[in-house]
Amino acid sequence: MSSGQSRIRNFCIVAHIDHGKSTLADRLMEFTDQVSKRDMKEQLLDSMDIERERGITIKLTPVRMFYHYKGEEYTLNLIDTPGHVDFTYEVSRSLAACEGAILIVDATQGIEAQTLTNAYLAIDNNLEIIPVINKIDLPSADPEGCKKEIEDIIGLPAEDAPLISAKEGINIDEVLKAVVEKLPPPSGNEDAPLRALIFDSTYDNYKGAICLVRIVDGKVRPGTGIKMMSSGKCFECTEVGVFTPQMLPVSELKAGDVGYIAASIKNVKDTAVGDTVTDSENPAPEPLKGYKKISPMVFAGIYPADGSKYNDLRDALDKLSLNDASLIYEPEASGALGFGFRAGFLGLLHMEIIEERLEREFDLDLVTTAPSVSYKVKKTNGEEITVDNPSHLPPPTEIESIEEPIVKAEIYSPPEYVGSIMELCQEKRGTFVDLTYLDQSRVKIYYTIPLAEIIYDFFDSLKSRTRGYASLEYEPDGYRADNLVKLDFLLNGESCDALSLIVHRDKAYARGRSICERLKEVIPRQMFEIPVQAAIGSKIIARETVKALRKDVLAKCYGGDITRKKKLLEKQKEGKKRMRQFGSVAIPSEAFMSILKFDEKD
Amino acid sequence: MKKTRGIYLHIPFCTGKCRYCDFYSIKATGNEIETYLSALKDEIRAASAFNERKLTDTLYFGGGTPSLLSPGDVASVIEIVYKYHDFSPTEVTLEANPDPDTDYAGLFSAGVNRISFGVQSFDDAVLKAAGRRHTSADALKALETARKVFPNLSVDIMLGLPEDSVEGAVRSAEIAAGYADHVSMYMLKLEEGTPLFESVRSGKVAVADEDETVDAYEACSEKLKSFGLNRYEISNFSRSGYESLHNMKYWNRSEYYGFGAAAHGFIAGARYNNPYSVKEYTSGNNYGAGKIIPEPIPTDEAASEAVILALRTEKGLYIPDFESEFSCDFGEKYARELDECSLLAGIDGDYYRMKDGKLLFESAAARAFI
Repeated sequence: MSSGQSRIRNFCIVAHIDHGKSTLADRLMEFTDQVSKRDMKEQLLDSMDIERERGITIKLTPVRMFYHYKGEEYTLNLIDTPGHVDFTYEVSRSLAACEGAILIVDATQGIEAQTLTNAYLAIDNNLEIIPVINKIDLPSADPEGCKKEIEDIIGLPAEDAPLISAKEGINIDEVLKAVVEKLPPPSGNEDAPLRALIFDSTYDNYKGAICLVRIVDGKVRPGTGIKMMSSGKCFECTEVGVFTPQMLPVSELKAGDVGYIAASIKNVKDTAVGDTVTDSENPAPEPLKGYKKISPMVFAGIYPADGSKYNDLRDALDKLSLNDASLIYEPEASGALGFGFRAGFLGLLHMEIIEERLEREFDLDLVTTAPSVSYKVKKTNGEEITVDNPSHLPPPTEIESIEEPIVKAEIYSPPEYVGSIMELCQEKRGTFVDLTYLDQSRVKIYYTIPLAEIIYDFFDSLKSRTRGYASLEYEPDGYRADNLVKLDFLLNGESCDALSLIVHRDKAYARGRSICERLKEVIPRQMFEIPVQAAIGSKIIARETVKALRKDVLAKCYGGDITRKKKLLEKQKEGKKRMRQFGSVAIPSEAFMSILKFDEKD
Repeated sequence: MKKTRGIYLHIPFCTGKCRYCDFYSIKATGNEIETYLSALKDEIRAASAFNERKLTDTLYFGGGTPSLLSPGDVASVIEIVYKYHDFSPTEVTLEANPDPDTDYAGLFSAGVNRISFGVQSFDDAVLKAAGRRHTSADALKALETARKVFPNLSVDIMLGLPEDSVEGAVRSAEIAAGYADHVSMYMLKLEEGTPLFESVRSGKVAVADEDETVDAYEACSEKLKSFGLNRYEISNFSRSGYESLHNMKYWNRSEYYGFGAAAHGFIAGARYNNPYSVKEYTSGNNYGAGKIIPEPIPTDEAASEAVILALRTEKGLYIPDFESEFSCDFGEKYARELDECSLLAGIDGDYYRMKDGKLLFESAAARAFI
C-alpha cells in the first residue's frame, strides 16, 4: 500500500430520510474549509432546486475535503447518497465506492426503516460503520436510548458514537476524527492496470458525458486511452478531476481517489453505471464487480398538454435522461391524448420528480396517466408479452394468464398499529410472511404484496392509519398470476384508452364505481349529457352521468365594465384550450390522474 | 341610427357590505361624501373640455348606495351635468336601497325619473343570510311610497342566494312584478374574497347548484312574463317601452362616460376606468375621463366586442348597423365563428342572435368571437 492512500478516507453518509444527512455533509465541508460560511447555501450537495425544496437528495454528489489531524493532511472523499426508498440502488452504488459509512441516527426518532436498510446495505458491502447520533440539541433527544437501539437492533457497538448536532455545529470535529481513526484507507494497487468503478454519470454541455469514478487500481491522466470494459468502447481521456463540490481538474487520479473522468464521450449510455474503466493500452484482466442493472417498476404515459409540444417533450426527456440513466421512455400514441411517451420510473417519487423537472426546467405543461406496473401476459396462442400500458392488454379471449409484479414489503411500526397495518395489507391483496418484535417499541411486519396495490395509494393509507409512525420498504419479488382484468372507461359511449386500468376482478366493481363518480366530479358539464361508464370487456359495470350544462353566462356588465367581461371570456377560452378533446367530450388534464386518488370507500 | 351618449356616476358609499358583494364601496364618514362629490363635479367639468360634446340623454347613479345622497346633492350633480354637457335627459336612474325613510319625492324633484331598488328578495331569511340591511316589510313600504312618485321603477332580484328556493324566488318575482315596470334578475356569482364565498367554501353555507338556479330563473321569467314584463336582455325584463335606455348603451356600444371612483367609461372608441379608491380619486391626481387619453380599441377588437355585447340581448346584433360601422360583410367576416356556434346562435332576419332557449349559453358563443 502506498503512503498516499494511507491518508485517504472514502466514505458516505447513510440515514433515514430527514435524519440530517445533508446538513451533516454541509457541516463537514464547512469545518474542513471546503466552503466559506459566506458561500454556504443550505444543503450544498443538493444542487437541484427540487432537492432543496423537498429536502431530499436525488443524485449522488461527491466532494473532496482536506482534514488536518495529528500533523498530517488527510483527503476525505464524501459521497452523499439519496435517502428515499426509490433510490436505494443509488445508495448501493455509492457504498461500493467507499470503505466506510457514517450512519446517522436522529436522537429524537431512533432507528427508522431506512436506517436499517441502509445500515444493512453498508454491512453487506463490507463497509466499516461509524454510528453518529444527531440532533442532540433538541429537548426530546434520547442519545442513550439511541445507542442502545443501535447495539440491540443493528448489533453495532455504539458506546463511542459521536453525539452531535449538525444543525448547531456541535461535535463535528468528533465525526472527522472518527472518520480518520476508524475507517480503513483504500488498499488498491497504484501500479496495477487501471480499474475505475463508474458509480454515477452526468452530462456537461462542454465536456460531454462524465464518469464519476472511484479509482480502485492504477492511475489515469489526460491523454490516457481508456476503455469501457462492458462495451469495449475506447476514448481518450481529456480531463480528470475532483469535486470540491464543483468540478476541479487535477493532473492525475490514482488508486484510492474519487473523482471524474471526461473523455469527450457523446452518449451518456457509454458511461454505464457499474462499468469498469480501464487503460486501453494496458487493460486489466478482470472488471470490478458491478451493480445489477436496475429496472423501472412504475410506468405512466406522459403527454404534452398542448399536442404541438410533442417535440419539446421529446427533447426534454432526452436531456433529462442524460443525467438520469434510470429514466426510460419510448413514444406511444393514445386516442385520447395524442402523441406522447410511455416512461418507466423507479417508483412513484421518481415519477413525480421527473414530471416536476419536466414542467419546471423545460417549462412544459403535461398530462400524465395514472401509473401502472408491467404485466407478463401469456396468450392462448402460447405467445408471452409484457404489457406496461393497460390499454395494450389483448382481449380477454386471447389471454391465458396475467402475472403481476410482487414486492416484498417490510413495514416498521410501533406495535399498537399492527392490527390496522395487517388489515391494510390484507385489503391490498397482501400475503402475510412474518412479524418480528425488534424491541418493545418496534415491530417489523413482512408481507408480499402486488406492486400495483403499493402504487395505488398504499403509502398514504399506511401513513394515515398509523399517524405517520409506520415506514415502508419494498423490493421486487418476482411475478405472480392472479385474476386480473382490464377496466375500461367510456365517455359518451367511447372507450378512453388513457383511463384504462388493470385491476383484480374482485375489486373491479368498487373501483369502477368510485372512478366513475370521480370522473363525474372532474369532467365539467357540457352542452349535452355525458354518460361515464366503467366496463370489463363489453360488460358495463358502473355508470354515472355528467348532466348537460344549463347555463354558460357571465354576470352583467357592472356599470359598463366591459373590459372585465372580456378578460373573463379570454380566461375561459384559455381554460378550454387546456382541455383534451376526446370525441365530442372535453376532458380536463387532471381527470387522467384523478383515477389514482385514494378513496376510503375503495 | 344615431347613437347618443350616457353618463354613469359611481357613488361608492354603503352603510355596510352585503356578503356576496365584490364591488368597490366604502362606509361613508363625516364630510367624505362632500369631498367626493366635489371631486366628482370636477371630473364632470374637466371631461367636457377634453372631448367633443355629444347629445347625452341618460344619466345613471350607480353604486354603492346612491340613495345615501340627499336630494340636494343629487340636484347639484345633475346641475353640473347640464352645465357642462349637451344634456337632454330622457332617463335619469338612481339605484336605491329599499329604505322607507328615503325622501323619494325629493329625489324625483331633484331630477331623478327612474328608481332602481336593490331588493334581491322578499324573504327575510334570505335577506339576512345575504347581509342585506333591510327587511321585506321595509322593501314593501319603500316600493309603495316610490311607486307614487316615479313613473319608472325597477327592482333587482337575486337568484341562488343562501336560504332561497325556487318557490321563494318566484314569490319574490311576483311581488316585484306587482310594483315594477322593470326587473333585473341576476344569478348569484360567488366572487373570491367575499364573505359568502368563504362561507360556502368552508361548508358553513350552502347555495343553490346550477340546476336549481336555472330552474328558478326559468320559473321567474315565466312569472314576469305573465305580468307583461318581457326579457330583453339575459338579466333584464320590462314592460314594453320601459327597457333601461342607459344599460342598452353598454350592449349596443354607445358612448358613456364613467365618472367617480371605480367607474368605467367608453368614449371616442376607447375604454378607461378610474382608480378603485376614493382616497386616490379625491387626491386630485390621475383620474378623470378627460385627463387620460386612452388608445382607441383596434377595429377588429371593436367589431368582436359589438357582437359579444349584442348577444346578451333578446334581439341580438343588428347586422346592417354593424356592417356600415365596420365596413364589412358580417357573414363573411365571421364565417368560422358563425359555424363554430351554429348550434347556439344564428342569423334571424336582420339580426344575429342567440337561438330561442339558448340565451343562457351566451358566453359559450361569445368565446368564439373574443
